[in-house]
Amino acid sequence: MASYTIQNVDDRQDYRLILITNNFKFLIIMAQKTYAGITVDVNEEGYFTNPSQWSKEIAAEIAKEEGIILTDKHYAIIEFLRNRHNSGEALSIRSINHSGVLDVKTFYQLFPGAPLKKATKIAGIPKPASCI
Amino acid sequence: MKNLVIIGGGTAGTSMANKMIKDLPSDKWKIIIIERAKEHFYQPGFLFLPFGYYTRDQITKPSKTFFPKGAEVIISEVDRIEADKNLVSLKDGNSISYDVLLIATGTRISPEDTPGLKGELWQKSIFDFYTIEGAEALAGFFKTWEGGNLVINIADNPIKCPVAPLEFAFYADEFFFRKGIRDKVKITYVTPMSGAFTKPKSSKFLGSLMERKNINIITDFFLGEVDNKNKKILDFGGREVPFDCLVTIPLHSGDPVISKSGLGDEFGFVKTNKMTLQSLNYQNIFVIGDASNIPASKAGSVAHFQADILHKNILSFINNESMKAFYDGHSNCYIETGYGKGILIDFNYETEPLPGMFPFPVLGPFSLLKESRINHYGKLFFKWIYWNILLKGRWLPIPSRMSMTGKITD
Repeated sequence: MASYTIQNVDDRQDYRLILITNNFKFLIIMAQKTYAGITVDVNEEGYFTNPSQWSKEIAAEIAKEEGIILTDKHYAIIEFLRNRHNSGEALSIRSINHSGVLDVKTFYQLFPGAPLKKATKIAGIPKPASCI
Repeated sequence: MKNLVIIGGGTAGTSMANKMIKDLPSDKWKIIIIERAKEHFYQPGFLFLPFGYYTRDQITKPSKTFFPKGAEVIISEVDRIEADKNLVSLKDGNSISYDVLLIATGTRISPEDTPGLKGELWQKSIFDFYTIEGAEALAGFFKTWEGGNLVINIADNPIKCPVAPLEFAFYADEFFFRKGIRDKVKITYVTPMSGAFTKPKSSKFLGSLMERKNINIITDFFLGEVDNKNKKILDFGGREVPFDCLVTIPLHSGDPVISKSGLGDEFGFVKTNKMTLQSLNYQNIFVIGDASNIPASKAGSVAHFQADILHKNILSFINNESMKAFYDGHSNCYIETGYGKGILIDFNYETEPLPGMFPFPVLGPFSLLKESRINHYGKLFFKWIYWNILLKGRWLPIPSRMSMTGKITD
């Protein structure tokens, strides 16, 4: 039994066909975690593999794991990151400065250490891959 | 008569002009190249300049040498692209209309975007090697430098030729060893990435190579500012790294023309379809090389592979056919590792650099993700290929789509 997912990778011309057999699917789903009573799919580093499973309540619990209590400021940047991810644009530290939400220094204060890695995890979107 | 206008006569624009002129009927189409510089630099040579392996003359030729006969060349600066009117306005007041526009304006360093980077120590203790001026100034500095903290820092991605900073570190290790002062030079590689490189396999390989060569690495460091007084770089979180000589790879931006024309993202790179290489905003605008915002390396090999795709797609577009060629993100680069050796990596959007042989299985002759002498000679020989084959838009025995042949997967 095989299931097919047609993923729109580019809204203009291309459609890529991704074939996932049920057996293989079992192998590629790395893990599940339960936040706020809801079970979500995550990868081996704890990043969401299905951003639509995310909610604000879930975000607050992931943040707690990272030692962060979310405020309105946190949620504003999380919303920016999610919107940007949904529109297919790459995320970088530089792009934060252009977000109109906050500057990079504040971003570091809100998510100390590795802000982009932490914020994307809490925002329920993939870890940004810096392209080469 | 219709016009194909190419803005930018660098690696990408020049090879495209040479490809297109063969297939566009000269009684119907005119190719117009707009370029501001009279000199064409072999940019991979910038890496060699600071160590005295090349001089400026050895990597410079007149731009006009490489433009095809029959193309009109305008040496001028573009003021803006008026895409709604199909018009390119020049700074001298003239304007040129186009039927198809190819943007090949490249990328540039913008050290002025980081506070303190272009301060009082600029070209005294802080150098770039992404410009001819920077590379030459650094060569002069290295001649008399007696040692100290050498810090190589990438401000943030994207940058042109993402492997060049690594090669610089490896060359520095060898250079100061041969000078007899390696024990007095502490080399530290400070990067915004979480390892020596981006993708897991190559990052691990290059990371252990750095360890063997006694090059320290500091990761996840996004350059916030430079403290000229205390000779330190600071990240946005306040982490500090002291330097005596800072080799910076500053932030990169697209050409100012792109933002001014409303075609770019926030960094001035043209919004481009990563498969067809067509502008996302205008159907008759195509983009090649470093100027685009697609998630591929900003490198000559990328422009070369894209040229094959664009050549087909522009012809389809002109003939009112649907575009059939798709760019897969293919990139291929030699990485010099010092002491006459080098490695080679080959990858695309989906496939990370893998070990194996290239381009033929077993026979190679180049080995992937492994040090060898022949890879180093490949890099040296590439200069000849660049001037004589790549810029001329001639055929090379490497397909524009990445192949898994010869690659070893787990």
